[in-house]
Amino acid sequence: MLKTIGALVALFMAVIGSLPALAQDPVTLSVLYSGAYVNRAPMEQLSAQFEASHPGVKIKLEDVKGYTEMTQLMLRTAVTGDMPDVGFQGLSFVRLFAERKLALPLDEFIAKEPSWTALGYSESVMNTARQGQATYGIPFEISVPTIYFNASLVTEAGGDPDHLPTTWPEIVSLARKIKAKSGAIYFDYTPTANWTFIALVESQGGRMIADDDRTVAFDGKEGLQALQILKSIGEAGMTDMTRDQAKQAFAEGSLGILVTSSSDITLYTKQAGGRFDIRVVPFPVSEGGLLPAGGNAVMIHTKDPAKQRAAWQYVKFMTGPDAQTTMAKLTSYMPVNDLAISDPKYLQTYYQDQPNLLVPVKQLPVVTSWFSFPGRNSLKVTPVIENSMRDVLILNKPPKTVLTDMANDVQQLLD
Amino acid sequence: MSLPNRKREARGRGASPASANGRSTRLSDMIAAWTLAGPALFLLIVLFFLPVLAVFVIALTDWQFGASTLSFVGLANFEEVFADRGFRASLFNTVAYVAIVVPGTIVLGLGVALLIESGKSFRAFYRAIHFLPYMATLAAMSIAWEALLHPTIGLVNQTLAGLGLPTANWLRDETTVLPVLAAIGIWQNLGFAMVLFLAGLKSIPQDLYYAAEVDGADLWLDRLRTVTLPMLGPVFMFVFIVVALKAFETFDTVHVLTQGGPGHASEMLMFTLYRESFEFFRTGYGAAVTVVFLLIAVALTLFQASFMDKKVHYQ
Amino acid sequence: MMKSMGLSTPSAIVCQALLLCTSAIILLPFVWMGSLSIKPPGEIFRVSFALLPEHFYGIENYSQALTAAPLTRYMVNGLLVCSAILTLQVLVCAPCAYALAKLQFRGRDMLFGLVLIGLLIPHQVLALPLFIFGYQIGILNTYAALILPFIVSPFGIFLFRQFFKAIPDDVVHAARLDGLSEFAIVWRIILPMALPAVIAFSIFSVVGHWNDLFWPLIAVRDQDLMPPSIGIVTFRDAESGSDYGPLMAASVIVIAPLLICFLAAQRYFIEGLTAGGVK
Repeated sequence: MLKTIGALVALFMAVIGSLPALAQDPVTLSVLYSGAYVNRAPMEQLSAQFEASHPGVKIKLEDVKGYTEMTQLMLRTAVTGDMPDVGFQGLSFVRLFAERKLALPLDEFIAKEPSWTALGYSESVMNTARQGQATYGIPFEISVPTIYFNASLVTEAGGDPDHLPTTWPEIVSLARKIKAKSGAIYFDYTPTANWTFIALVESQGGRMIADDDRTVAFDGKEGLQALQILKSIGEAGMTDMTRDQAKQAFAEGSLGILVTSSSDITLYTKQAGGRFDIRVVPFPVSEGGLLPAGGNAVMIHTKDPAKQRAAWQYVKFMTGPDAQTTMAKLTSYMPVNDLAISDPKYLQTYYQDQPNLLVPVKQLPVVTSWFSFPGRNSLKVTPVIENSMRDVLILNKPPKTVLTDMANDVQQLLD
Repeated sequence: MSLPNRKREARGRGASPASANGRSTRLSDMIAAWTLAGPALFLLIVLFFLPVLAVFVIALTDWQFGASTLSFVGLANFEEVFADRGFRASLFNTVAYVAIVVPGTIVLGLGVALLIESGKSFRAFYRAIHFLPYMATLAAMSIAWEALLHPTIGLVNQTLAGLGLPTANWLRDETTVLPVLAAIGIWQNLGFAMVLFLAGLKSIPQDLYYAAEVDGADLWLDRLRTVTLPMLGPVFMFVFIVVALKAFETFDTVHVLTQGGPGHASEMLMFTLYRESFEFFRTGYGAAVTVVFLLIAVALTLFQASFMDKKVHYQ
Repeated sequence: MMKSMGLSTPSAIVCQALLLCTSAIILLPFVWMGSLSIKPPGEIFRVSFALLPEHFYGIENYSQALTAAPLTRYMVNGLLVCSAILTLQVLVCAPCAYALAKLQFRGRDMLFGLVLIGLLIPHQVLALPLFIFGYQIGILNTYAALILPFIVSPFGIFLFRQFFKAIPDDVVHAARLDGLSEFAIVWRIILPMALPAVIAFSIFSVVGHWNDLFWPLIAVRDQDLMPPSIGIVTFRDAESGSDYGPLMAASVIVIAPLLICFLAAQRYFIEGLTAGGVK
């Protein structure tokens, strides 16, 4: 008797539970992203495609300058109550959102998917959006730090664009020979959350923080080596500019070597407009070293169950192989989706035909989560490290002193 | 006009024709007055005085925006503020900036006003041109300045290089960034000073110049010293106060061009206030910075007003 | 007139030359902004002094500016917010100023004292508590947030009071004898007579709020609500330096309205400014 009642109740619940799906309520999702200079086109195109294939859901796009600005906006709106429903958050901030419970853990949705693994999400990349045991986002765009060369300026300096240096000492010695109006080389030291500094440390096998999650660990030999690389770059001829100015300078052909995110390869090539060739070289990684994954993951922030369901559809769409292919072709971010990368139907031939784009793709196996400092002062640590890097780059202070001061200042902010 | 007569009559009759009714008029006057002034008073309290009070209170707590609890920590926030190297740099920069912008604006504004006034033609033309920066949205003009000051492809450096003069990384070099921002500040405020000086110059009676000439003030420099400058006293005071306050409150150029950088070299108080309160969400700290800012602004105004009042020559 | 200053011709020439120099420096950012707004990307970053482009790209830049950013929306917002603020300011401040100037009542001096103290307080000081207050009553990220904090202006009250005081009392008495209520007196008699004050104040108010960056930066986040100052900064951030031409075109569009108004009605602006300042 009880069993029958139980079965009837279960049936009843199943029917009730499926009703919202049948009801087709119009849902509007407010979606926040950044980097409009390269992402606006794919975001608008893909969101329009999503709306077309999912009537009943409308996407309202909103953009701010970068990941840090996104996080500031999230923190503010978490209190004022009009948080965006979905956000393409910088991977550096997964931890922050997890700790402050601002993002929905997605494991339940993933568990309900009939064939999640077949959809092509690679484990190592999925890890970049995990904190603890829970998945807080599905990575949407991945990038790594990479090195751009202006082939014409390299040739003028006596170098060979087809055999470019692949270690820091060799890169720096080539830089010394380059004569360019905006400087021979520019190292982007102001990306979100000190991404390139983390890359310098971790690529040599170093760590940013100790296991206790409270003590800085970047002040060891890897940190010193990182600052010494920066010093040699400064000596080789770096004009201190903002990263926007450096990007402009490289795109117009007056900067020899640019060390920055791999996300802009296609953009620079287009802006160079055939006036000069661009070659891409992988960021040097030592044996056992890793690279922090740049880029962003789609996170669901809304607490409304109906919106969450719609948002999950949006997440799956945007990270599916079709959307990822469109995204990868319009920007130079790398797809998360293994299918998209390896299947000739999507991007395999595309990458084979574009050696520059293949460079960061080949580094995917050494990619790890984007480190971030814990605690409520984490946002304030960023300018501390930036200013320290700058002191070394403009040859203001010696690496050893800077490293000690930097470690002290950061440690104080962590306590 | 018969007005003066009527006035005398009215005074003879009493304060106002209706006052013959006594108390009820005063009462109706009071009701009318408070009805008219009520909204303004209410809004002044709600939008000015309560918030100021709130700032002082928050500055004494450890409240973080969004937290549901807070506790009083006395002057701890102020201690933290003054111990912070970044804040001290910000305060120093703000003072230095004001010290450059105020004299610069006044001298150049007066200079241009004198030049315009001494000419006979194109006055309105020059006046209009020099006033344009004051009207133009500073955020938008900052973007134009950014293009001009680009270290390699900006017009400023290109011109200097073309003339064989040394160039500089204007916005990224700690030694040049604050003077450059100050120059932009002078550029923006010059027109304001000029217009007020022009009005002041126009109101100086010619007789004084004749008298000065008779007394032997032949050179324009003498005339300037003995007649013009003293007569411009009140205008001078007004311009001084307004420009000093405006310089003290500078935010747009810092936010758009440098974000306080490089390091803290161009950070100024308003930007620190904004960053701490609205980017880092350190609300108690931000409120403490606000209190310091307010106290300095008030002191600046009161001090200048009383100081200049004593020195100014009124007709 | 300074005719008796009688500058000799060489001095006059020197004066003109100096003024031309200062004018050139003052106009430099405007001219360069306009020049970049009509150049194609290739020429923008080229080392050259050319003001005019080889290849006129103005149409592309300006249309890109108008489509890539909701520029017209920003301008409309500016217009909406500034006119709402000004209207409400006059509505609130004029009656109060009249009461302070023309009526006798207990507490008048205290009220005036409060106005004077209000004059001393820079508005940015109120930003943090007003933000919190705005959040508490739920008006953040709305037009109300952009308008409400400014509707009482101690400066407006002060300025109007000074002008109203200069109006002869007889006018008020005559109006009262005619049976007009105090309200009517303010709007139908006093304010029209103090037109210079109204104009002066309007200019201060509109220019100040059209160009305000600080408060909109804090109060709103929706691009639909942004006034021009924060709109142009948002556009620049979104471009991240890759599209300078449209950015310059957008900047030109943003500053154009006030500049055109000023050039067309120069006298009023200048008179209003000096009237407000000298008083």
